[in-house]
Amino acid sequence: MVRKHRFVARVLSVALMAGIGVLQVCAQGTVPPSLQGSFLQPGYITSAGQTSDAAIVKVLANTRLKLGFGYDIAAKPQSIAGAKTLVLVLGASNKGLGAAGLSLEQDIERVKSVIAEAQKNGVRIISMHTGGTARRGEASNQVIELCVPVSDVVVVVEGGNNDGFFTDLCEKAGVPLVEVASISAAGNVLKSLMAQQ
Amino acid sequence: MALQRHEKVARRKRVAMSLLAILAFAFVFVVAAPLSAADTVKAEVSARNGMVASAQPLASAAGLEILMAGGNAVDAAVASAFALGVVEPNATGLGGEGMMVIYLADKDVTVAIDYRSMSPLADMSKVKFGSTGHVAVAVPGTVAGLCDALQKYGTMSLAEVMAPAIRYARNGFIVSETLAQTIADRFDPISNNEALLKIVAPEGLPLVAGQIIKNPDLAATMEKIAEGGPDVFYRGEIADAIADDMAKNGGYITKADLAAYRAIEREPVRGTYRGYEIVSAPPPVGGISVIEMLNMLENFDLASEAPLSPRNVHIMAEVMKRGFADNSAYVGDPAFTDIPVRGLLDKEYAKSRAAEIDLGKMSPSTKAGTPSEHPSTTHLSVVDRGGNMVALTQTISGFWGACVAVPGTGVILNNEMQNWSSRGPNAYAPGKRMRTTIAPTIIAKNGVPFVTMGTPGAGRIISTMVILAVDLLDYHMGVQEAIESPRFYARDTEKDLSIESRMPAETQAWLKSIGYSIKEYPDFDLFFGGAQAILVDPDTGMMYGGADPRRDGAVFGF
Repeated sequence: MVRKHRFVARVLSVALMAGIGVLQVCAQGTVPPSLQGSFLQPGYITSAGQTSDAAIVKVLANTRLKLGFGYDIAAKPQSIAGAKTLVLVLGASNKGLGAAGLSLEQDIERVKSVIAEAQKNGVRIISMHTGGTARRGEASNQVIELCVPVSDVVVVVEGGNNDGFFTDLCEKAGVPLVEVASISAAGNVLKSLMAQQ
Repeated sequence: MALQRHEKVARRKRVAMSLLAILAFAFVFVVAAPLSAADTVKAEVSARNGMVASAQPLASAAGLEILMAGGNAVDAAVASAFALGVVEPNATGLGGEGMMVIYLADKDVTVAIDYRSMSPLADMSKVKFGSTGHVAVAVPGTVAGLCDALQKYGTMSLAEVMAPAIRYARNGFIVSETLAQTIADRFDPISNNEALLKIVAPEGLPLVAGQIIKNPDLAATMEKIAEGGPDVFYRGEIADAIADDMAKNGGYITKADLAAYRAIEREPVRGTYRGYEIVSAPPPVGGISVIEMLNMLENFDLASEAPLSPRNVHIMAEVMKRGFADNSAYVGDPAFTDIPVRGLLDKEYAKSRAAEIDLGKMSPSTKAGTPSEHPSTTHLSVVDRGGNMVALTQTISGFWGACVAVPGTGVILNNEMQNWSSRGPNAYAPGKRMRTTIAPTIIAKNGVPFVTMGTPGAGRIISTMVILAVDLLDYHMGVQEAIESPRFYARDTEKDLSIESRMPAETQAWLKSIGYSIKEYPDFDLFFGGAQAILVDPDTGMMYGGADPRRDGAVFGF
């Protein structure tokens, strides 16, 4: 009898998890109420894969939204000291890696160390993919697979998730996914996620 | 507000309609028909009365407009070059430089106009040259070069040939995927410069494909040049603006540097390849190395095997490495260094370099040879109905150059100062022109020019030019087929053989087995440049043009 109850409980919990997983994929541009205003200042932006999209997110956050986030495209663990929110901008760029003098493997190690530092200090992570199809491919997928499961929310601009890659990863990891139509709309999401000062 | 929005939409519609009109025009006047049976991504274009192949459809349309108005190939090339500076602002413009090779049919002469940039006259020997910012900028040559070419060899006024470019800058044009990607790729340094940000991110975020980009300040600058000539740029109010911006931001260019700048008419470098005459851009740029590499290749029967056979790719990669090694060792500004031009172009020297190649093994390292000491990045091609030809390659060095625009002028400045070598013939000196690889080239048969070709692509320019020449002359491919054929690139200083992924798997496997490390790029990658070429059939006079799908290249003719 107890065994039967355990079995039913397991089935129900799996069904519940699957349901939550599906619910994690939010309607376009919609931030789940539980996440609205839940990310604290100060924030810090870096890339995962040296994509120059990180600079675009910096302009979005600091020039347009006046969030005053710290920024280093190749941030190290010590760079995020004091930060309460880490924004990882996802995408591998050969040009970016070349300019930084890093191989993809070296940049992945850097990102791992930044994530470890964030997790150690309770820093919450927003992953953003703003480069569309141009920032997908084998190398970009490696950094996406690294960052999505450790994120508290993932924001993807239209095109980047055409193949459902982010949807699958977010469902598996139970991470909320917010899809938006444009980089500008990603700014609205970022604003909505951040706590009012 | 609503009215403004309505006006914006109406303006966008007008621009879109203009583009449609141009395309319709192209369909009416151009016969798009592949010369060969080869499947190509873009159709080869044929025409009888004149043709322009450039890296952007609107720039090709500008040249065609001039040809149809009765201008010659030089008029059209200058019009297209100014237009490219507007519609391909990431790669060229008034703040850049270039080199062109002109064939004048009535005089049967070929000349080269060197409008390469030069270092400022101040001593910068202790300065670390980065790739962005005001210190990276060399004295620009584009305005001087284009105006000189027009004045000496054109038939129309500056105002006439600049009109399309001014129109594009003022009315705007649609941002392509390629242009949008270059803005995104360089947005970090771009965002440090307010004047450039105003052009590529007028509302704060980078323009994306499908949006309209305008540069009204550049339109105004070009109108002043059209009216007052190049002195406006080198001695007048644009010079003032550049010098002022430099002084405020730690740059070195002064009004004296701008006033001292001159375009130089040079004798092209010449060689032969399997009976064809090759005429290319002389030092300090890369034509000499294109000819040297072709001289080496002449010692092998490439046509006995398929174009991308393992043996042929190996031979060409080894030739590229030797040619690049010699280029680094011997080529620089001829005003500052003695270049063994005749030695480098000598057939016997090429034979000795070719003999170094082991057909079954990759050379682990390649050094410069010892030629005997006899006294030596966008492209467009134009042919007119009189048989005149222009091959013109221009650049601002890296995409978006120094990521600096001069406030109030719309002019985007180059980052050529990054191209100095630490030592050797290309070591820095004040007032010197730095070496680059650009190599606009004309090919003739029995004294009659029939091909004009060139490509951007930084270090890949020379290797791409060699591949194009081999594809056209050894394999007799059509121009579009040659342009689209899979590219590869080897250099003495690089450990990898870079290839486009379309190279046959068996060739890749064999190359790996003899020691190559392969770096694979996508099927068509702009890393390998964006070539344009026009071939004139000597028997029929029919012109065949090809443009590169790796960028936004387009050919128009009539």
